[in-house]
Amino acid sequence: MWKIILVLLWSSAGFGISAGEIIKKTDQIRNPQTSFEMKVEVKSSEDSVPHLFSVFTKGNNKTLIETLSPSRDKGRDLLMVGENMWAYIPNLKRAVRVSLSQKLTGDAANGDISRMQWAEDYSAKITKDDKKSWELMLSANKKGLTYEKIRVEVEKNTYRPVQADYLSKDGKKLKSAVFTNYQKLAGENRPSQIIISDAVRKNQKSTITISEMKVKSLPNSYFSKEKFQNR
Amino acid sequence: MKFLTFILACYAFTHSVVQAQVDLEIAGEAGYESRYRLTGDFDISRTFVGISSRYTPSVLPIEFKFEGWAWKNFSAQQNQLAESEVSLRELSISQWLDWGGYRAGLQSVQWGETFGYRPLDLVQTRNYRDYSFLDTTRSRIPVLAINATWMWEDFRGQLIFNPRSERPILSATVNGVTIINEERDPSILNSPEFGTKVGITKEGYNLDLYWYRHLSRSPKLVSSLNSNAVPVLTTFYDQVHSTGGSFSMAISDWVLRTDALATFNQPFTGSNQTQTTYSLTTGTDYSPSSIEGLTVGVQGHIDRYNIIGSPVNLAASALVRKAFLQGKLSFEGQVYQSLTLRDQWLTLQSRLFFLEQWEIQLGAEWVSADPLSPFYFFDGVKRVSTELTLRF
Repeated sequence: MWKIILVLLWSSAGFGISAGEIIKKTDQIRNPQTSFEMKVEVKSSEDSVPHLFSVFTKGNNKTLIETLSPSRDKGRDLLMVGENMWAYIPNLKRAVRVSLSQKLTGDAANGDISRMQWAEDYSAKITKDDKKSWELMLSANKKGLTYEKIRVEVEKNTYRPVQADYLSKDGKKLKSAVFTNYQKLAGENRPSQIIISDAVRKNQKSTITISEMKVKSLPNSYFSKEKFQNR
Repeated sequence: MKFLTFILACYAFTHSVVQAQVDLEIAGEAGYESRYRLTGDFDISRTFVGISSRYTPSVLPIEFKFEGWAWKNFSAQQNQLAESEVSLRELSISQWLDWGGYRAGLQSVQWGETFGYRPLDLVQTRNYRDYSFLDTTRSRIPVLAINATWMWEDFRGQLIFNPRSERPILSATVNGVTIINEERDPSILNSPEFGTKVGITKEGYNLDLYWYRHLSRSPKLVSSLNSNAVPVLTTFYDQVHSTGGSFSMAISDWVLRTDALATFNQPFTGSNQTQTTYSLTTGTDYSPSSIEGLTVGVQGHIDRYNIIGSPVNLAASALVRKAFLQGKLSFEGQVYQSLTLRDQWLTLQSRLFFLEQWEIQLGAEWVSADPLSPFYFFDGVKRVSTELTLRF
């Protein structure tokens, strides 16, 4: 009996859990594991006008971002399928292949709202383990990701991401993100605000606010280049 | 009158949608545009209104799309344009499922990856009457077609069927010589156009292969004298087959692009025989992540035009684009220089967004073309353009 209680206590405290499992649980906190739609607002310190997006995601490699405002960028949508990205240019009425490093707005890269599942993109290693949290180092296991490495702090009791440092291949800090304002989104408590700071230009910040998130059935062809080309 | 009717119809439509609280996306723009030749004439001086809408009923997984434009031409008389024009650009229904999807109705289909003039973008013919090198996309004439796509993991297939071919719309004259269309059997001129595209998107690259049967997009020109002994050029078209491919790949901040097209049994100016034309455009563009809003691109071109005596065209083109003030202000320049023909053109364009919904565009285009090139239609174009647009 005592053995069973000890095992239960051990597992509930998170002892013995692998880095990969931690990051999977963290992904489940960040967003639903099925296809979903969310409304995202990005406020940048560089731009007085907030940007509003509708984001449609299926799995970890299909994302469609529709720009709703400001009106100068309305219709300037992005389609990401794996390591391929197309931007729709409204005045040309044309979808154009673009590099993955193109920015969404301010300090927010496309990857900040499109690659929402770290477990599939990165291999994880626990680098620090204290009473309250783990520190994990995530290393990209595929080409074309926005960040080569991510150092992320995860709360032990809840598996909530607390903060993350986005690093270059040689470990240089590029950006930091703080995950805050946990609230009910698509049936779970999830971070509704991500504050991203530039590591070099210290005064530059972008705040990503998720105002709405809902699980939605999205067919594969919703993310086809052929559909995207006729916006 | 058409212009006013269009505005009233748009207003009535929008008003009824708002009243009925239908979940319909509507976007529009209105403004004034001009293209002023340095010789002192307006090629274009007109106001415009455009409206587009998209509707997905909650009970059905289908989407309806509409786009319509209306213009009021102030320089109608000297340019042989109608005083007011209305153009339906899209009226389609589409459905997208796990296996693929289809779009049926009036639509535009985009093929090809490169920038500038893109021969591979051939599903729709073009309106060259008020063609601008500043915007090569707007000249497309939408097609009434069925366009279906199938998806199998990384592979895609597309089938297009357009029941009726149309000739391109050309300007009334080229360097002062009147252009007339040859009267031909409508069963040839208006035959169905159809074709397919198969493609793969994998590990950062995209490859598409194409085949399309269509009315030749570039006419054969026959020089003759009319009944008043005045020289005229008569256009001649025929049904042809085209095949080609496009490739694109993103590597870090670079994107590689290639379009290739060959058209068989093409009528040739200066010959009674049909021959093959081809076009290859390949290049790269660079958008450094360290410099926001900058794109620099270069391309090489190899073309064989449907004109007897025209040498193989070897050319290079370049593009520079830079955005400032979080995209509120942008500049773009494109240059094209042929090494074997006298073809060269330069376009410069700047756009400024202000007061949230307003945009002003200033542009300039300069074109010089060889008589042995299809661009001879635009030889001598030296003009500046302005556009003031309100988006709503």
